[in-house]
Amino acid sequence: MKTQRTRKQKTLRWAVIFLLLTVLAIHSHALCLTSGQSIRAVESLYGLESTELIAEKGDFTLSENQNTLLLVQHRPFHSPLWNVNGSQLQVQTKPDHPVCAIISFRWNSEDPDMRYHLAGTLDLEGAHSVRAYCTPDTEYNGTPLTLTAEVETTAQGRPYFWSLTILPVGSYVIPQHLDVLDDEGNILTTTEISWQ
Amino acid sequence: MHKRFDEYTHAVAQYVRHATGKEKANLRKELEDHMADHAQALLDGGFPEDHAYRVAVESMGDPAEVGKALNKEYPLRWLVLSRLFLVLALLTTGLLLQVFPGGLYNSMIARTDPVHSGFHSANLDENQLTYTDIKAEFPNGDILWVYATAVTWDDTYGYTGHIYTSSYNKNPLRDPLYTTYALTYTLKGTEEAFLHAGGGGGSSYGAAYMRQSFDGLPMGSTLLAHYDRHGTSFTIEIPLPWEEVEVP
Repeated sequence: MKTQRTRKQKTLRWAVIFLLLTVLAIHSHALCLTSGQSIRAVESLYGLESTELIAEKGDFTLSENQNTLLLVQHRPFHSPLWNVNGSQLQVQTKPDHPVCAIISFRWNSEDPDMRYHLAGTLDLEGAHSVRAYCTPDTEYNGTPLTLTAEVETTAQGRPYFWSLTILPVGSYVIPQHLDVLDDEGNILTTTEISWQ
Repeated sequence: MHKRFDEYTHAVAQYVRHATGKEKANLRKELEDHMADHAQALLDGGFPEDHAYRVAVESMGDPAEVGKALNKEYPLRWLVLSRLFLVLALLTTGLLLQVFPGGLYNSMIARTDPVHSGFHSANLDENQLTYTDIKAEFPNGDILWVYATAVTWDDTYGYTGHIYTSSYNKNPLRDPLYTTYALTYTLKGTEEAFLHAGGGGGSSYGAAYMRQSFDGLPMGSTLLAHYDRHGTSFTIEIPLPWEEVEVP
């Protein structure tokens, strides 16, 4: 019986050590088991107040607080060697404007496509869709992109937009301007876009 | 150890398949001690030596049956679970080791002796620097330390103000995110005109260093560094050591 207890004790000892290390890893944001923990990791990285989730698409989340809009990709592991910012697509300070828009693109050598996120929040009556576009004088830099997204509303009534456009690898010009349109295509307002 | 004991415990151990090598060794030692005690009692009772050892072994029973019975005392599930948790604990430690120790030394140097960190921008001699203790704290706990300033003069640029900064996090196990790039600079009294700076720097895990040089400064001016992001804003005042400037 003594031998059996020893094996149990060893198992319990390693289980406790593993649990403590896991708690430490989660607390230090080295390990993010959920997309919510990934958001907390980026908030901690930037020292932001807690953000509320607006929408989730696959591994990606869009969240906001009073001052900031976050677009985050959930990755289980965060460490300096793997780029602690790897999960953060965009951290955007909200402007003094009813529309906060961000564009983020990601490409890596293992993926044959480029992925462009157009996302944001808005406080504008009658908004139906948004259209992000380039100024004509940027064409010499590559193919100007035009991205669009429908305005949706969260269960809590928060209007937002978010589209993911996948394009083959190429030289594109990122849109700098965004029009908010009503359901007849009339421009309600225009704003500048920050992108990363 | 008596040869009979060794042979017997070896035979028993062969049937204790779920025991590790260390556990088998301990088990054999325990069996040997038990048989030795028995043999000693027989010897003390006046039995001949060979008889005492033989009886001590035979009284233990068939080694196969004893071994099979003892094997049940070593349930495999606990061994597997124990090893599994050990491996998981090692993997988690590996994950944490990548996060924690890399920047610890650099972070400690950044907050104590940035000039000799190896990343200090040595565009000027150390005796041209005026050491300062101007610090700004960012919302994530990053500290930007303006540890030295200087003013130089030349015919092309006039007065040039230099500031030397190190960045680290209050938590020495964390990398700093914010450097002077997070700041904009103006001159005190003319806050609307942003200054453009040249400079350089370097960084490693746990710390970042920057030098910024502002050309064409008016004599006696003071720099203001502004931060305004994500709902937090502050301004720090950076006096320059005008009394130290040497005009050729």
